[in-house]
Amino acid sequence: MPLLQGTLDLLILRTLLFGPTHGHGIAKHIQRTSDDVLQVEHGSLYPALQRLERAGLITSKWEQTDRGREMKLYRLTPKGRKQLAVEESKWRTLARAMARMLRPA
Amino acid sequence: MKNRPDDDLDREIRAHLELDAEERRADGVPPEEADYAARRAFGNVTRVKEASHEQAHLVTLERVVQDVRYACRQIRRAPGFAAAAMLTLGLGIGVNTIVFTLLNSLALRPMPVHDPARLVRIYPVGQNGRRQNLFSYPDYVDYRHQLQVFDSVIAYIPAVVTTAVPSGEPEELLAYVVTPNYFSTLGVNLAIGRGFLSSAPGTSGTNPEVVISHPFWEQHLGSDVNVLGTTLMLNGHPFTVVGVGPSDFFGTEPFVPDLWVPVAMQPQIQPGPDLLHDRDTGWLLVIGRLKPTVSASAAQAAMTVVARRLAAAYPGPRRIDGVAFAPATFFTIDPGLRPLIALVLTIVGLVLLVACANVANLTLARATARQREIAVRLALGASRWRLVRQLLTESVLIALLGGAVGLVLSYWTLRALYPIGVSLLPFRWGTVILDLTPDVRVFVYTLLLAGATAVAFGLMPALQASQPNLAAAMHDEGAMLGVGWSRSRLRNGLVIVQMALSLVLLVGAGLLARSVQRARALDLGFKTDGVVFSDYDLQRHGYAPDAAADFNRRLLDFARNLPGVTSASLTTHVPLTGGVRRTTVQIDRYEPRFGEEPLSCTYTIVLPNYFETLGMPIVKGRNFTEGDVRAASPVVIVGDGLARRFWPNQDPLGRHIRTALSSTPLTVVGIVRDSSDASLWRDKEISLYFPLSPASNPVRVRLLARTAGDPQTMISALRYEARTLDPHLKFEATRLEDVLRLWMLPSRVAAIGAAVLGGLALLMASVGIYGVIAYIVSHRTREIGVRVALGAGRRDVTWLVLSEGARLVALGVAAGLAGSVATTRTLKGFLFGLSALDPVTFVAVPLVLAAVALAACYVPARRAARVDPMIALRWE
Repeated sequence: MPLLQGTLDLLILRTLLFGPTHGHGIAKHIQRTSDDVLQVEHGSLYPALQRLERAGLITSKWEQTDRGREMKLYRLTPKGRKQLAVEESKWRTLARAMARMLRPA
Repeated sequence: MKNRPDDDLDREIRAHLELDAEERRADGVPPEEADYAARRAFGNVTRVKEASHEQAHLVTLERVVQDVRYACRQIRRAPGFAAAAMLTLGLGIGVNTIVFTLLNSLALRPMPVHDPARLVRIYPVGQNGRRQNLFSYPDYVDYRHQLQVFDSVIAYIPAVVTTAVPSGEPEELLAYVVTPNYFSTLGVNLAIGRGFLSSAPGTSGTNPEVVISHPFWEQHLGSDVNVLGTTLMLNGHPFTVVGVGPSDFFGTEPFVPDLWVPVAMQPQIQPGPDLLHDRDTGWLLVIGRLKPTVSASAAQAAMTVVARRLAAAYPGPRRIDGVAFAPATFFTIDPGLRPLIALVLTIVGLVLLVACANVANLTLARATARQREIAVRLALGASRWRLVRQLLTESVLIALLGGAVGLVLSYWTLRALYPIGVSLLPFRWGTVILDLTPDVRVFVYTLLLAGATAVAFGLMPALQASQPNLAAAMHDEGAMLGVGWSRSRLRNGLVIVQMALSLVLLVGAGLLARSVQRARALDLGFKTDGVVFSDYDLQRHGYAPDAAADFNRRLLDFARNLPGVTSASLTTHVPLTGGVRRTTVQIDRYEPRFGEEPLSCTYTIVLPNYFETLGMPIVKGRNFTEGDVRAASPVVIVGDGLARRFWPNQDPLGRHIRTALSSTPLTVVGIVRDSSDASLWRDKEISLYFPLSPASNPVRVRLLARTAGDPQTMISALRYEARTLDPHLKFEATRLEDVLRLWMLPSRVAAIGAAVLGGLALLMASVGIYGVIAYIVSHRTREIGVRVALGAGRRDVTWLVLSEGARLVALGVAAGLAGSVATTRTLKGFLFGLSALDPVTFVAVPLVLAAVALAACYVPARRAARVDPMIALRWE
């Protein structure tokens, strides 16, 4: 299922809440956690990461992973943490509203 | 150093792919397949890079360069279109640049002197708050002493002087009467000599020195390096040459002076009242050099304080209430001229608009031809914004090239027209110097104009062409259906606008031309044919009244006895030659209505023959007699306007009037028709005529003579006689008809200018409508083929196409007529005895325009009629 417009940023921030990860890791995590329902387009993932970094919500750094591979790791900033809280509550409100609307009468 | 983020992204994607492949291998996928699968899962690597690149730099220089390169390729691919567009825009921009260059060199360009930015022109402001031009000399002296804001202040005025040069013939020269600090303040270094001593001027007439201009030095004194100390006779007074101006300095007015004389010599240069001690007569232009630390506004405030203090110290009728500053350019634009400048700018702006509309249509047609290319690019995922930008880049490029063409055109045109323009000016303005080479201001103006033009003609077609209506455009016929409709409406609209604008311009040209033509037959109240008048200034030559009277009498006798001369007279004023005198009139036993202003009339003092010489019949009463002249009788001949106003249906003869000139009541003895004494522009004024008695001041009169023969012969004879009477006198004789022609000059120039511009606009509009009709024909070939196959005749087809064109022309003419009615009122001041809604013009011009436009439509219509149905139907 393709992602809804605007939800990718939220999912990335949410994933990074568990700790620094690289792009591939983020994509895999979203896919796996949603039981493969949400497919992340790499074509939008990397631009989204750059966008978030420019907005100061995440930072990036090339680091050695535990398996000895040089990867670019993304990390949540305090500003990103705050933004995540805001986005989450917005999304919940929306989801609740959608659920109420679609409930079988 | 370029693309560091790109390299980083590359590395990141590579790491991603390797990791993914490694994980897949760990899951048991064979190595070569794992790589491939990882790549497939990732998707289009380039696309990812592009997407992140795009958002990293919204508008990169790189992209602009790419667009420009693409645009160049497109232009090269369609050289015909590009050339047509460039030439059209070049013409449109060119006429605008011409006007701006003129405006620039007259009003915007600073004077070519040292540090012109700190020079300001200073004007007195009257108690009514209106700006005047001239300061009196005592006022200037008081201002000059206010040196806390100015480094120095100069005053000067151009004046005509007569000189006797070695060649013999007396010659009129333009002199500037200047304060001694003139050259030092402007920072002008003389080529030879010290110039005037910058001390305070002494008493009147004690400083007979002259600085001569470089051209004068070359032409009249043979570039003699030992010129200092030689004597030059000016108005009969000896002046010592103390300097030669530099070759690149032409004074501070557009009129190039031959020499400069110190202000203390004013009484010798301008005989008459002593202006050096008269605080109530303004006659000097003033320029100040601001101190580097003082701003213009601070200086203006300080000077206004001084002006008010002076006004309090010397109360008088002409006291000033402040000063106004203006940048020290050659001309400051008289506020009265602003509407005219606005009118000219509007006219050339309209021409540019027509050009834009034309190029917009060309661009639209071209966009249609490129419809498939654009559609393919849209389908391949190019964003609309990107396409619009590319199309606009093309437009900007074409506009800039058009601007360059316009710049070159304007430069050539001005260079060609400048000598003609100067030769049309009368001598008394001297040589006019205007530097018409384009400077930074002209370049920037043209650049901005080109930019605005690009948006004007490029934006709409670009938006239209990039409309993502893919399905229709991918098929060939699409252009004819859906998309075609709104687009053709736009094209038609542009053609209608062009037609309308051209019509407005041509109607204006037509009105002006008709008015010039009519002015020949204009009833001036007098007849100019065969009339010659002479101009000479005995006052400037120091004649005493007796000597002057003798000179005038001998010249008059000579003129009367010339063969062919039917009548000759002396007069204080020749109609339409400037310097008319006015006075107010009171009528005995006339009670003015409440608030009625006293009547102002022009007056002329004449000999009895005046009326016969000018062909003015005495419609009632009698002419002056020799007795009136000898006795200076208190009689007056008046224009019939006065009689109509004060004595309607009564006999005006024998009535009495009083003027502000004397307390004696004057008896009306004759009536003549009102005439255009002072100005051709204004309505006729009421004239009064008094007899020219020997007691009247004879120093400044003119000779007026009518001949049945060749006026040129009379002019030569008069000149010869004047030289015999006084070889030092500068004597001019001119036909009155030449004066009339001079009056008509602005209208004539305006008519020619408007006709050229209107013709240009009409040409563009015709090409425009031709293009639209040709386009329609080419896109309806099949339909026409079907019609012919079904039995439509050639004439039917021609008619079908022509009616399409006629519809556009009719709409354009209607819009243009409405526009003309709304705008020709602004021409009123240039039209002599012609209504701004002159029916002949308003009928003839649209007919001509419609005929030309329909002729342009006829060419494609004929082509349509020759369509072979078989070929048309097989096509596509």
